[in-house]
Amino acid sequence: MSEPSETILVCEKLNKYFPVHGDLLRRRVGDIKAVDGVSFSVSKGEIFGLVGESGSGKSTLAYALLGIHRPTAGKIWFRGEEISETIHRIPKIIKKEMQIVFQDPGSSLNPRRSVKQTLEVPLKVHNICKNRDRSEKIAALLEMVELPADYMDKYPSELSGGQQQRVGIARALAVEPSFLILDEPTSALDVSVQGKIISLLLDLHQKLNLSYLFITHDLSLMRNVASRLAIMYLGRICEIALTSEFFEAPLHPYTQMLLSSIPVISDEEEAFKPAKMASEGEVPSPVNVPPGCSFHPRCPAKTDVCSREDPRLVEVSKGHLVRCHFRS
Amino acid sequence: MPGNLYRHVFFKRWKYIRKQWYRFSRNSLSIVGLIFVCAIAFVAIFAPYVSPYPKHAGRYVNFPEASLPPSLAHPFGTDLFGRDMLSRVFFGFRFSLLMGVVVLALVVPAGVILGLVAGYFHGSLIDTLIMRTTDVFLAVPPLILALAICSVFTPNLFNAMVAVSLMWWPWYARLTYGIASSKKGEFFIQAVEAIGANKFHILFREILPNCISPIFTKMTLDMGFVILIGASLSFVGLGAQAPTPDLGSMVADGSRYLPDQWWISVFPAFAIVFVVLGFNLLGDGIRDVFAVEGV
Amino acid sequence: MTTPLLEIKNLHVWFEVFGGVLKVLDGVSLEVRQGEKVGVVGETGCGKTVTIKAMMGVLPMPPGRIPKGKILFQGKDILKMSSTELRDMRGRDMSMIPQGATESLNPVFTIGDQLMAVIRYSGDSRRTLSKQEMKGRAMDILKEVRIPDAERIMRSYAIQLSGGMRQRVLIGMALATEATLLIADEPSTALDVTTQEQILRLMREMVEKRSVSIIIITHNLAVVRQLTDRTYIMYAGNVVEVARTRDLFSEAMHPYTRGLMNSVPKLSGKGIAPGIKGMIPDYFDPPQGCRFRPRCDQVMTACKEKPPLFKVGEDHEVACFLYQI
Repeated sequence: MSEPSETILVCEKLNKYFPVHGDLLRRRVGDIKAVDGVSFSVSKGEIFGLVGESGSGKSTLAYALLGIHRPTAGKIWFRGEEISETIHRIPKIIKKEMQIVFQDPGSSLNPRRSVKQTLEVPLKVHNICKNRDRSEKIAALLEMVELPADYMDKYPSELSGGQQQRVGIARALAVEPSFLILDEPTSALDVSVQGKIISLLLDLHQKLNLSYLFITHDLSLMRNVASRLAIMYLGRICEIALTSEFFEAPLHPYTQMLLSSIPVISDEEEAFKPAKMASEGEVPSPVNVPPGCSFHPRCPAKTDVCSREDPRLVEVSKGHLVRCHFRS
Repeated sequence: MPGNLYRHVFFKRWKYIRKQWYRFSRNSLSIVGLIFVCAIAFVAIFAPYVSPYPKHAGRYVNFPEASLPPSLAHPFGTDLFGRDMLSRVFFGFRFSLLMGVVVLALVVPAGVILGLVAGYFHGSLIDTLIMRTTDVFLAVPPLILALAICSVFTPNLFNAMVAVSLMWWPWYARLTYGIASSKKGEFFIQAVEAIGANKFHILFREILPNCISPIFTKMTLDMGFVILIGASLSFVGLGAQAPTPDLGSMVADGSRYLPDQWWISVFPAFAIVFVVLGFNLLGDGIRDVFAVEGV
Repeated sequence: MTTPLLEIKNLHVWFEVFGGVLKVLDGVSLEVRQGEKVGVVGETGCGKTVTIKAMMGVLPMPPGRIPKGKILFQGKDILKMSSTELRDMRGRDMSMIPQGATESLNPVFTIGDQLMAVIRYSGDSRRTLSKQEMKGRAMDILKEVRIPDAERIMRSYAIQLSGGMRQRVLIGMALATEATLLIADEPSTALDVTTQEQILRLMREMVEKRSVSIIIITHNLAVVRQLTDRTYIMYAGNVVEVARTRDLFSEAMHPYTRGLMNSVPKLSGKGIAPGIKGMIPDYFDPPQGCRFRPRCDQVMTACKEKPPLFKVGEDHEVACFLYQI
């Protein structure tokens, strides 16, 4: 990139804890630290990837950015303005700029509402166009996601998974946002449909000058979509790097473990994976985050200090940050 | 283009109706229920025109013709005052249906709105307030509550309806609460929240359409039961008063004359059974239609 | 050549519903040999679940109908079995490993109870084992599937276990039946990538150790690549290609198989493949002849006829006229 791009979203030490109530009196016995001290930034026009398995907190993070959850601590800046409070006091302004496409298209559309009624909601809420222009606008939205205009009257049960997801994308775009969060947009779809939806998303990214936060657990997909990415484990970021560096020279042991577990379909693909690091154990529950470095029970390279002290996210080379006692 | 669209939509609605009819009609009992209910509704609405002796439904005495057994002139016989039983039963249907319709018209909106609000704000103070109130009403034995109200105020049809309404609304609140609180966590609600829609829209335009099927099914099944409760109240003298031809009070009046003048009690009793059965069968059929399809 | 353990011959399955007849399976033939690991790959709606259900005898038969075809298990035709025979077969000779979602285990019983129930009613132990013996067997199974702290797991409930643990328990339960044929339904879909790798490794080991046969149903090509000897590719109720897994991945022949392989995002970063154009056909009115015709780049006039399976190599067959000898 020639000129320095401005950042569109910055997130600083974001926390989202959910209280756990135990015993009869329902006292708070602890917290689920779904998101714990997350900081990163997304540049304008970038596709920033967020990778994580279950319990990593990636979806919670997305909802916290959108204002669906109220952050327990930390700050969020959007286009240079701090929005952590605004988003709850005057939500509509932010909601017009930042939207989300959900994971499971089947349940992200109201089964009792036709496509037209679903797409009308954002138009009405944000007064995008006059009443009489609505049908036209909806037809235009459908065209943008490559669906014929007469699909307006269909109900979600009449659409295939890919088509439902296109409607979900159309709904997110209806408010004319500048920033789109995509939470596993193709995980529930067949592989032959995934490519089409991803191509559509990349196309729209170009045409409409959008910035994306792309969340997925599918690393092969991420390789082809994101320009920069971060990997999360139990609510904390382990590594942030440019995509190429991430795959070619991963530093964090969790990253290496993840990369060597990727299912691939050819020998030549196998060659792209780093040295085999057999995965051990499973992701612990976010209620019982291990002390010190949260990854240490599964880490082949752990030492004493790892069970006591949580490492900080440190920049190891330009743009490449790692949270590990050894690699930094 | 719009013309085509409307025709297309109309055709789809028609196809949808045909498909639901297909599923409904697979169970012949449901058809029986539908026929029963249609017959009752027809008779109730057109009672003055289909009854052979419409005047007998009100103040009328004709002692020479009293207590006549069923005959061609009076298929259901006559009662103690010489009034034609058939006509009185027809008019009785009217009051029964009226009771059912009025009670449901009061109870369903109130219960559903409360359930929606409590369900959507699940876990908050409003939820607790509403649902605990519901629990209180449910804890009181229903008929006792109705009896209490009717005894305190003048016994008449209107008060009976109020009493039954008071004991009925909690069921709709609970039903809607269950659905609303489960739908609340679904993605499509979060999506609409993310868009910035206001609470009114979310409750009534997004969640409510998802509750309609179970509510409608329950309404149909409830009709029969509400009518039965109304008849029970009249039976003990707390509902409609003489000379209003209420099925329950007719059964009560005739009970003293069993088994000799059996027709005075038995025909109204059968009429009650007919109504309740009809609505139950119809309700079952409707529930089948709304049930999830397999394969 | 010994008789295959399972042979499905030209199976047709139709469903009679409002609106007509859904002609889902259009002549599916597949076989599983003794001790073999077979994969059945297909996307949503291709009919793989219907095939498996027919095989286990659990298709709802009022709307379902089998106008043609045979399913031979250990030489006997399943479609002609009585419901008692079917029930015996299902518990004892054929066992399923469902997806690891919480719904696959009974939430109100402990893992130990469920495992012991399986042991009690399976294998050749219709003889009664004492409670101690059953518990011992259950613990052995849990250790075999590498569940740490087996004692505690026996007392736990399904909801307390992680996805990976549940999948292991389900595998253990299937193994406990001592069935000769295991059917694994999407064995890794509900799991994280790192757990998936472990589970697949475990399954491979278990199957090979006990010399049982296994059919793996999935839409995930990478899973069959890791786990199977031979793979069937299904599309719209037909088998379009079958080959030794090694051969399939090095030399996929059918345009649909090729399209699928291309659609998988590549780790090498070569960009996003466009997927396969079009959609799966409507089963009320499927295309005449080859059902893939509307979506195929290499369609020819011959494709208006239904292509049979042509042999293109050892154990490699393709249902496509491109390969007509």
